[in-house]
Amino acid sequence: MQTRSQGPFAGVRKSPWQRVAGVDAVLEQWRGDRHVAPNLVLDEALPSAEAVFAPFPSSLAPPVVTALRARGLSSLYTHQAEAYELSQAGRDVVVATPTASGKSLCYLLPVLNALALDREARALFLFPTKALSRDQEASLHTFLQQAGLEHGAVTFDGDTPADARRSARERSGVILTNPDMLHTGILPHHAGWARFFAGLKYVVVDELHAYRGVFGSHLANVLRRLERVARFHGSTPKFLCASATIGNPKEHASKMTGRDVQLVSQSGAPRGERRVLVYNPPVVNAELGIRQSSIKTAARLTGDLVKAGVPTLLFGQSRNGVEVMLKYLRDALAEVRIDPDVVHAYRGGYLPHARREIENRLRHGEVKCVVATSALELGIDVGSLDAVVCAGWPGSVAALWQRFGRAGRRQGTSLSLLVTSSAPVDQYVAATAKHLLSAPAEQARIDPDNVEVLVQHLKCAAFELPFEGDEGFRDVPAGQVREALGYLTEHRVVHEVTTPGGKATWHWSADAYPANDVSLRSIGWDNFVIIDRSTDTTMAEMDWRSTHTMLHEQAIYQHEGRQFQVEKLDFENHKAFVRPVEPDYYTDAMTFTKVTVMSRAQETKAPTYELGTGDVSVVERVVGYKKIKFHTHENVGYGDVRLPEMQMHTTAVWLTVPELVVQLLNAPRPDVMDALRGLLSAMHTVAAVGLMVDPRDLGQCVGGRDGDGRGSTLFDPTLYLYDSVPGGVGLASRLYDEREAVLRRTRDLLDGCACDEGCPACVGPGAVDAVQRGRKTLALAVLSALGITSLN
Amino acid sequence: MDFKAKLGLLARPAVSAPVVTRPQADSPLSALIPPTVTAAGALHVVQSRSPAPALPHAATLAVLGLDESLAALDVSRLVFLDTETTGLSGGAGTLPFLVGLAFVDGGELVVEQLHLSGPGAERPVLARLSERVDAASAIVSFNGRSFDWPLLRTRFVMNRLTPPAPRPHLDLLHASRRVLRHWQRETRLSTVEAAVLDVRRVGDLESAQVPAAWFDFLRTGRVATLARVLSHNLQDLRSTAALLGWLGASWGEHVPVSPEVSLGLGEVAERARVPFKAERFFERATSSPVLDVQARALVALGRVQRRRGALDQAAASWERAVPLCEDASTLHLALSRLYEHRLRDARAAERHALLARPVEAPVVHARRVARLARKRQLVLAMR
Repeated sequence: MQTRSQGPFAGVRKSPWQRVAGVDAVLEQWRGDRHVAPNLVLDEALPSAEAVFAPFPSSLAPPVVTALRARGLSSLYTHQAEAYELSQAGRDVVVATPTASGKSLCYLLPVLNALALDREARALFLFPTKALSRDQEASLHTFLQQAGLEHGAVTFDGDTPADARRSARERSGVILTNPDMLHTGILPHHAGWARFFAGLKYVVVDELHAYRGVFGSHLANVLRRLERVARFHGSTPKFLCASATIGNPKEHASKMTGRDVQLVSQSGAPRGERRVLVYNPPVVNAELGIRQSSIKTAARLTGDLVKAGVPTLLFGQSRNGVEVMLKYLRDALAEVRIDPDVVHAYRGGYLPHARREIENRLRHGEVKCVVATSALELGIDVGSLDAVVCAGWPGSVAALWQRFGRAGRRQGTSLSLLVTSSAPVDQYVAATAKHLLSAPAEQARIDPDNVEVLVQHLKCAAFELPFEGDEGFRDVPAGQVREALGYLTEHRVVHEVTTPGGKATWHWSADAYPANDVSLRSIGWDNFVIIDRSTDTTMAEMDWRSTHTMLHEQAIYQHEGRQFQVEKLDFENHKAFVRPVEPDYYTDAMTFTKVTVMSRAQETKAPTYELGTGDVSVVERVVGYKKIKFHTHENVGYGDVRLPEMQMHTTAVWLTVPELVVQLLNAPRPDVMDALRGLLSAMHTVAAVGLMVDPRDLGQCVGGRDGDGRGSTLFDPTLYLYDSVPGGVGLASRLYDEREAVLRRTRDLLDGCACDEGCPACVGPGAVDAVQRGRKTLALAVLSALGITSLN
Repeated sequence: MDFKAKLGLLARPAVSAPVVTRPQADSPLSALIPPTVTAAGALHVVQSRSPAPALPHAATLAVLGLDESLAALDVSRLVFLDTETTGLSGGAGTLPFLVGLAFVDGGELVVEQLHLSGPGAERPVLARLSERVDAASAIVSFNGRSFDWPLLRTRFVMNRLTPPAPRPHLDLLHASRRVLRHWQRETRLSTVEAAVLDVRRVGDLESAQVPAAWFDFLRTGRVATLARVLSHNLQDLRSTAALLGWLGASWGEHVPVSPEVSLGLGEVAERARVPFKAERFFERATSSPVLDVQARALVALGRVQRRRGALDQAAASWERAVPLCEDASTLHLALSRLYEHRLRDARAAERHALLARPVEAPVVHARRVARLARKRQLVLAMR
C-alpha cells in the first residue's frame, strides 16, 4: 500500500480501522465486531507442519543432482523421494499431496533421470490447459539447463508455429501438451512421431483431479489410444500422475491409466499455520429462512482484507457472481478512496493476454485482490497470497481445499474463509461446520466405458491403427471391441477385411478425420464470441452451454464490472453482439427441464412406491429470464427467451409416487406437487452430500412416471435425479445402491430442520406461498405415506 | 441395458446395403487390373506410354525449385509422383490407394500406376514404390512435398517398412506459383494445365469424388469409377511432366510467354542470382498492357541494372516507373539515393528527396533535404 501511485486516490483517509494491517489484525477486528463474530460458525487453526527431509537417492544420475544443488536444494521432501523410488522400481505413481508441497519435483526427478541416462529417452507431459503447459515449459527449461541436458522441452499445442513442430517431433526430449492436442494433433499423426513414441518412457498427467466426469472419461480413452500407439512403436511408458487431495487418488489414477497405480500421499513439505473460518450470514427472513446474501457478505469481508493490505483471492460460484462481487468491492473501495484498480476479475472467458496481464500484476503486487471463478484453481503460479475467500460452497470438500490451498505461506498465518449461501447444501455445511476440517475429500469419478465416449475413441483408434483379430482396447475386453467394430462397420466408418492368413482386421474407411469431430470437453471448441458493438471488438468467449443462460437476447452480460446488454445472438455463427448499458438490474435465466425414461435397468417395487434407475433423455430449454435488482436483489421483471433446446442421454434414479398415494393425502393437487418439488430438493441435497459431488453435477426434475409429465395432466408423479454429464459417470447407479439410506436421510433432514414450515435448507427455495401451502408438512406427509420413517 | 443395446441407441438411420467382405486372394480389382506376381505379393499395376516432353537441364531444375540440391542430378532419372487418397486430411488413417509414378524411358513417358487391392494390402505397392524412388535421382510432383510424400512415408511406418532414402524433391506447385503469380491467381493443376498447356479434360472425375470411388469399390466391388480415377491420375501425371517441360522451355526462352509470365520468370531469375536473365525477362515484362505489371517490371529492371552498375539505365527505368506507381514515395527515395551517392546529381536527388517525404522519418527527411540543398549550392558555387 505504501507504494501506491500519486493520483486521485492517493490521499488515504485516516480512519481507525484503516490502520489495521495484515491477517492477524483483520481476524482480531472480526472477532471483536458484534456484527461479524456471532456468525462465525467455525474459527479454527490448521496447525503448521515441520518439513520432513530425505537425502538424495543414491541412484539419482549426477546431472540431476547437479541441477538440484544449483537450485539450492541439499535434500528432498520425503514424498518426493518416495515417488522417485517407486518409479525406479518400475511402478506407475500418483502423488496426492496438498497444494504447494512440491509435487512437480515428484514427476520431474524420474523424467530427468531417464533423460540423463538415455539420449533417446522421451517424456510426454499433459496439462489440462495451455496456460499451464507454458508455465511448466519455462521452469523445465531452467531445470534441463542446470542439469546440462540437451534434450529440450517444447510445448506442442495449437499455438506452436509450424517449423517448431517439426523439431519438437524429432528432437525434443519432453513434449508438453494438453489432452485435446494429443487427441487431434499427435495421435492421428503418430507415424511422424515414430522416434518420439519409440523412446517414450514416461507420461506425466498433472492436475489429475481436473479430469473428472466426461472430460476424464475422454482422457482415459485418449490414454488407451496412446498406449496402443506406443506399443506399435515398441514402447510401454509408465504413468506419473499428480493430483490435488481427492478422496480416491489411487482408484482414479488406476481407472484413468488402466494400471495398478501406487499412491504417494504423505507430504514431507512444511506448512505455515492456516486459520479456517466459516461465516454463515444472519437470517433476514425467518419465515422463508432467507439469509443475507453470501455475495454481498463475501464482498464486504474481502473489502476488510483488501483495506488492510492483505493480498486476497475471492472465489465466486458463477461468472455472474464474480462480476457482481467485483462491482460491490470496487464501489466499497472507492468510498474509502482506495484505487478500485487494485481489484480485478479473472475468469475463463477472458482472452489469454488479459489473463496473463492480471497474473503478472498480481505477482508484482500492483493488484491486491483477484475475484475469480475456478479458473485460478489450476495451479497457475500467482505468487503468495495471504487470504482466500469463497463466496458459497464450491460444490465439494476437494474443491474447497483446492481454493483454500491458493493461500498459504511457509511461515506466518494465512486465512481461509468460506461464506455460505442460503442454498441447501451450503446450510448443511454451515450446520456441520465443526466437521469440515476432518471431512473426507470427494472422489473423482469417470466412466471410461461410457458407450458414447468409448465408441468415439474406437473410431479415432481405428484411424490411427487398424484393429486386428482379438485385439482389446487396453482394459476393454476384445468381445466388446468386436461388437463396437461391428457397429462401426454397419455405419461404414470402418471396413472389415480378412487377411490371407484368415485374420479379421478393421480399417478406417471414411473420408474424415474422426478426432476433429470428437471434443474432449463438454465445453470447448465451439465457443461463442462476444462482440462489443460500441467498439466492434471481441471482448470474450463463452462455451456453448453457458451461452443459453448467459447470452440470450436481452440478457445483461457482465464483464469486468461493467454491464452489457445482449442485442443479438447469432446462434448459427456463434456470435453474441452486446452494447454497454447501465442498468440497475441483472438477469437470471429460467430453465425448463423434461426427463423421459428410455430404458429401465433396475427397479424396486415397494408396496407404496417404485424406485428405479436406468437411461433417460433429458431435454433442457431456457424459457425466460428474471430481472434482479442490484443490491436489493428484488425481482423487477420477466422476459421470454427463444432458444433451441439442449438434449442429452444420461442415467437417472427415480422415485415414483403412485397416484393412489397422491389422492390419499387429501390436499389440493398443486400443493402436493409443490411438496414433491420440496421433497426432491431435500433428496438432492442428501444425495449430493452423500455422493460427495458438486450439486450441479446432479440434476433434478419432477415429471410423470413415463416421463412426459407437464402441467396438470401429471400422472404417477415421479422425482428424478440425473447425472448432468451426457452418458452419465455412474452417479445414478450409486444412488440406487444407496437408495434406502438416501430416503432415510431425507426424512432426517426434514425432521431435523429447525424451521417451521420449510426453508431453503430443507425443502428448498420456493414460491412465496410455499408456507401457505404447507410445503414441509406435506412433504413429511408424503414420506410417511410412502412408509419412510425416521431412524431416530 | 447391455453394451449392444446401448450401441443401438447411438444408431443413426440403418444402412440397407449388406457389407461385402472378401478375402484378398480374388480381389475384384483384378477385373480392372490383372495382378502381377511380385516378391512382396500380388501387385495391380498399369503401365501407359506416351511421347515424353522435352525436360529441362538439371541447372534449370535448380532455378525453378530454388534448390541447389537439384543442380547436379541426372535428369533422365526423374520420377514423377501423384497419389489418389481416401481423404485430404492426412494422418495415419488416410490411405493412398493409387500411387501414380512416371519416368522417361526410351523417349517415352512411362506412367506406372500402382493400385491397392484393399486396406492391409499395401506391401507390394510400397515395395515397388521403394524400388522406383531408390532408382530415381529426384522426385517431381505437384503439391507432393507437403501432401503425397509425407503421406507415403506414413504408410511405410505403418507397415513397419523403412521408407526410401530421401531424394531431392521439386514441387511444381511452388515452382509454377512463382512463375505464374502475376498471371494466374489460382494454381491448381487443372487451371494451370488449361492455361499454359492448353489441356482440356473431357469427362474427368473431380478430385472431390475420388475417395467415394474407393469406398464404393470396397463395399460393392464395383470398379467402374475406379477406372475413371485411373485416367484422372494418368492425366495428372502427364500434365505434371508437361508442365515441367513448359517451365523449362519458358526459362530457356524456347517458347514465347506473356509479359506477365516474363515478370514471374524475372523474379525467379533474380532470386536464383542469374541477373542477365532477370534483366531480359524484366525488359520483356515492361511491354505488359497491365500498368501494375509494367510498374513492377520497371522497378525490378532498375534494381538489376543498378546492381550491375548500369546506373543511368537504372535511373531511366525508375523514372519511367514513377508515373505508373500509385504511391511512388519509396521509389523517389531510391532515386534520390541513386542520384546523390552514385550519379552525383544533387539537383535530381533533391527533386526526388522532396517527394519521398511520406516514407521517411521527419528528422531524417529534413536532414536529407538540407544536405542536398547544401550540395546543390556547392555545385553551383564551383561552377
